[in-house]
Amino acid sequence: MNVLASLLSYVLLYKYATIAVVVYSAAVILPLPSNAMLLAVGAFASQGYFDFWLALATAVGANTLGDLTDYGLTRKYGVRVVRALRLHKFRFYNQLQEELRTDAAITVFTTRFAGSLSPVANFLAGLVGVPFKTFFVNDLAGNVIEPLAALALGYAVGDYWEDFSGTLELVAGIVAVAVIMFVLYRIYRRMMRRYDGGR
Amino acid sequence: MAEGEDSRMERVIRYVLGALAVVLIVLFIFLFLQYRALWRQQAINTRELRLSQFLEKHGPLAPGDASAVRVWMTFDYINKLFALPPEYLQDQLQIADTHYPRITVAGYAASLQVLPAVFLDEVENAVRSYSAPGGAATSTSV
Repeated sequence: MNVLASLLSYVLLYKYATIAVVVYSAAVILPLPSNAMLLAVGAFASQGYFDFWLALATAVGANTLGDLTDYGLTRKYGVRVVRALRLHKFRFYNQLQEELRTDAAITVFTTRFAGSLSPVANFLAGLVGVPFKTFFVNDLAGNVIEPLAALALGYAVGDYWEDFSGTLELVAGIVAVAVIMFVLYRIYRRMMRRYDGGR
Repeated sequence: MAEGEDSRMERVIRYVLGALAVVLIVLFIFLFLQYRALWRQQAINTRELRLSQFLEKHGPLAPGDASAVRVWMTFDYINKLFALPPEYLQDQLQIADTHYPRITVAGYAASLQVLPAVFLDEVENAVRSYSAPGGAATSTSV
């Protein structure tokens, strides 16, 4: 059995607890197929085996908690690591830190769709000291959209969810790459503008 | 020199973003076409997609759709999916495991030391041979 099939066995056995554990682990760092799992859960909800809204609340809550774990870890211990590695001596690191702090809201929100790479944004947000409120609000807003889309699609297609899971993973992957490019492009543009202004 | 490199870098990023946008559009078209195909086959019912009825549950599958059973499914879920009485599969497959129905097809096959695919065939056959009380045919709703 592949990873998704194993996860689905646990989903059927332990229901919402499995959703919470898988989504939390994926949000923290593990590359698990949480979107495909939520697509299946949406289909199970359409068959009356799950409660749609409870599944959504569990997924959003676990996702946000996972993101906050990453953020909290680097917020608390990140400075020590940066000092130990002497990263603060590098001009580029300090510029990047400043840019991320300035652009925090849009960066946090858009990186919610960056798939398995969104934990990197969480770690960075904690490291550069993005205010908790800014992180939490934008994280929560972004976290509602992705699970809702996966669950709703699963609910709509019902028993045919397996036909869509591969395509959904592919679309999510492309969106993730596009989001990362978008964020990097914004940071790059702002840094260039500042560099040009300083000359 | 540095300016030339910057503008070249900017051009490359633009091209990559453009290419990603095109791929994304193609994928969405593909997803839409796939969805339309299911729609045409009446696999997806318009009534169930209306917002007001969005959370109305789909009905159970017919025994004829037994090929939808997978090894990762629990017996509890299979019973729900096909609206089978809880004891039906237990009796048909002579399942003595106390974890029934909260055990997967693959898990039970492993405990019997048989291949999951072989046991899956038995489960499918058992589901197929089910006839609802009173002979009423259970219809698919998706």
